[in-house]
Amino acid sequence: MADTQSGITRDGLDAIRSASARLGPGGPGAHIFVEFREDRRAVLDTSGARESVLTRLSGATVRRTVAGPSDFLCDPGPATLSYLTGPAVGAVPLSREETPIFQVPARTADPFRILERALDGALRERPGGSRLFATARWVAFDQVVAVGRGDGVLVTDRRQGSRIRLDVSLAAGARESTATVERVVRGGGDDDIVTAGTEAARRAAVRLAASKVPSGALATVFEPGVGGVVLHEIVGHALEADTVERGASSLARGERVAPRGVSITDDPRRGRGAWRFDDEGNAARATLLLAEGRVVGRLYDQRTASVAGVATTGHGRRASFRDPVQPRMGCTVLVAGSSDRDELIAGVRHGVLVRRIDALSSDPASGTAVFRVTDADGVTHGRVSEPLLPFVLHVRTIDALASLDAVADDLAFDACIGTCLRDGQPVPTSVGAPTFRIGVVRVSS
Amino acid sequence: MTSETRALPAIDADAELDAASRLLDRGLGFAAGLRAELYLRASRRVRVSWTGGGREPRVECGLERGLAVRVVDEAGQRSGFAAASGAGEDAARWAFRQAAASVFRTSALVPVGGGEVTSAKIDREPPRTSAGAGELLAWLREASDRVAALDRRRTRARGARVFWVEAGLTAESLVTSGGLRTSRLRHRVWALGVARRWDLPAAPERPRFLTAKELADLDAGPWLAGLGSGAAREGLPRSGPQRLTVLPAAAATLLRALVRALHGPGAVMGIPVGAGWRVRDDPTHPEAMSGGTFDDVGAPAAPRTLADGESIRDRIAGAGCFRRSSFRDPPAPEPSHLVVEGEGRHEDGRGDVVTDLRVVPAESGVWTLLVDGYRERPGPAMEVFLGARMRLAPADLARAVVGAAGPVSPTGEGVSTPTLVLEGVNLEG
Repeated sequence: MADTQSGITRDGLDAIRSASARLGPGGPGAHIFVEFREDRRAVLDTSGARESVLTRLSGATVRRTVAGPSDFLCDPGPATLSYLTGPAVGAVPLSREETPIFQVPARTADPFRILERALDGALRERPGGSRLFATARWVAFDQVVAVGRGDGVLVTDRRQGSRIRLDVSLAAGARESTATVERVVRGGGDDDIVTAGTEAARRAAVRLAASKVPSGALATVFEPGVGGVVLHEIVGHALEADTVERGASSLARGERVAPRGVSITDDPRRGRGAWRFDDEGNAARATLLLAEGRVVGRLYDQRTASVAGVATTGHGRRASFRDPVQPRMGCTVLVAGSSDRDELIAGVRHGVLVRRIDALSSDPASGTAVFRVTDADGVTHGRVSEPLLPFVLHVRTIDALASLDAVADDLAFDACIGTCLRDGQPVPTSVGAPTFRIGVVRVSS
Repeated sequence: MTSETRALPAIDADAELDAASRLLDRGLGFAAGLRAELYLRASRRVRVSWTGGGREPRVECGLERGLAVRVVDEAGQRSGFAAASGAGEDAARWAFRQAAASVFRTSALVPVGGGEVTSAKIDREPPRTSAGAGELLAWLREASDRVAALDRRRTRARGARVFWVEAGLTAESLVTSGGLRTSRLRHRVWALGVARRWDLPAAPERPRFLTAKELADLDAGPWLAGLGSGAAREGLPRSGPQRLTVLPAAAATLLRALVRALHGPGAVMGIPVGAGWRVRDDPTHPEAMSGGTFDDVGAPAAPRTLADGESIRDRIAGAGCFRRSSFRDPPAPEPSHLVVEGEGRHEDGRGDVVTDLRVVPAESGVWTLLVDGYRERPGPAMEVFLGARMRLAPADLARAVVGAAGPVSPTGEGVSTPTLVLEGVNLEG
């Protein structure tokens, strides 16, 4: 029978307990990590073509000390766990059939029904005389994790997330445009899904008139939920403790890098794929990175915390049971300010209002990052003006943070949804930010 | 270092193939009326890495098996896919049920092999002893010492390093209800290094993957030789239409992006290209890290000439081109190993030199390329430009490749290429 909260059977929990007890007191950081994960992707486009991919991954890894060796095997059962934590002799047969230790209820939601609603929303907004093609994607994951330590601690965690993405292409006469809208899918009605479709189509219609951005240094305003991507790259990665440890961070503790009124936290318990316990079994906690413009925090896993002589912040993550733990961001948030959004935009003489952005590269060591802006409008004399063709944003961390001079009160999350890829390890992350303004960013078309 | 890792089971490619056949036979009941394919992959790997800023080595080793089921209807219009960890009957039953329950009309259906091709095909590299943790650590130490020595000569040393080295053995088995039965066995080693190419505060760190079939052939030398240890100052590229010399590591990035854009499944044949755009995809190339005599759905694979220095001749599409990134991913058309010909046909040494580039595609069809490089100038310091921009449509970029210089070099990224020479391109600082 399953412990339905965790998705692990009671026998499975017993097997994990027994295996971790065999680790003994071990060194600090010794643990067994057991994982089950189901990923689903569904795609539907306006031609009716569909794709459905469903995968299941499961495995276990044993780590003997905080920086020590790890062994892993897939498809874990009691025999696998016993083998991994037992004496290093003998071999596990490859074609064994094990008693399953996971029992995760199958998802019942029909993703194609959701995708059809989204496409309906888009098609309803098609301007007369135009051709519209749209693709709707639904991506969901469900991860069950158990971490057992030799001191008897056993924690389980369940991380889940779903999102939908609408890509609309519109052609009217000689002009073409695209627009993208993403939403985190939460339980409840489909209204959000339908409006994602209508919003994408409306935006594509507006962008038929897009023009080239002027190159140069411009004031840049980020729509709520969007600018968090930039702060994830230029602040978050620079404050992951292993980056700091190898001297590759441009942000020094105690340094004032931004005006007062700029505070940034990372809280893994929020956002999509939130976690209560990290992949080392430590409780996740909100960690203040910038407080009133000053660098005050780092994100630690157990090893980097031990080296620094501090407590872990519960940010230890691995992309899968095959990978080592690293300190990783969970949900990076720019704390809401007090500026009025309209006044914030009114204060821009020549600039851009960014609606969608993708990170291209980020280098914490040199404090530079490059982004591709795929949807934006010009701002001229305080008013939002014409839509803009895609362009590149070149950000220097020190200049961008120092000129972050206004933060509004309209905090939003995950307008641009991404997977953080670092050292070949992809991990789902969230970002949150209100509307905010940076005074100096180099823009090129 | 004591790893205390355990002895992992060996991978027996014949046993894997037999297991795949058994699982297919037992799963066919769930796929009535459908053509079915079962792909089974077993991989064993050992990785040695440095932890944090120190030289404390960490060892990870393990064995993973996974399977994927693909079904296609008899009309060849609809397909379903599911994948699972493990190689047991439970995993296979689940995957067959899920795949059969999610059969849809897709925009790009990949056929399931079989029918007339029923004989067993084997593509296995000769057996060799995989490098163990001790050998990998010795390699990592030596490579790291060389990188550290280079970094010490710079005024702005910032911890350039080789992060990890890994040795792996992978066995793939592919069986279908049409009688296809194939097997592939590969040994590989990889390493990741990160360093700033230039001794400048604004110079970003760039990762570099090194790959080889054996540890003895894994060589950090060419990568290290490309890291500038001398003085550098930041400058601007030449303005106006000019000639660019694109070094192999940057050329590899350009090649992968251009092949995707110009030689994908929907590519138009006959579009003119520059004399240096002589590209083939060669899954049987001796330096190929992926590919082989058949693709990942069992169809025979052979070199195909994509462009011949005059026009686009072929595309990455159809039988022989299907690749899987992992067992969890459905097969899709992808190149195996791109090779640019034209060794030494062009003179070297003129024009600004491009060392790194990134491609930014745009909906308008015009790419922005962000380019790092240098220009040869008299004086003690090399003049470096960072993040210069080039804007060209992909077809114009291929026309601008007028030649090649120097030897064809493996780049560790699925590309073997000489230096490429571009003419008539504009760079903005």
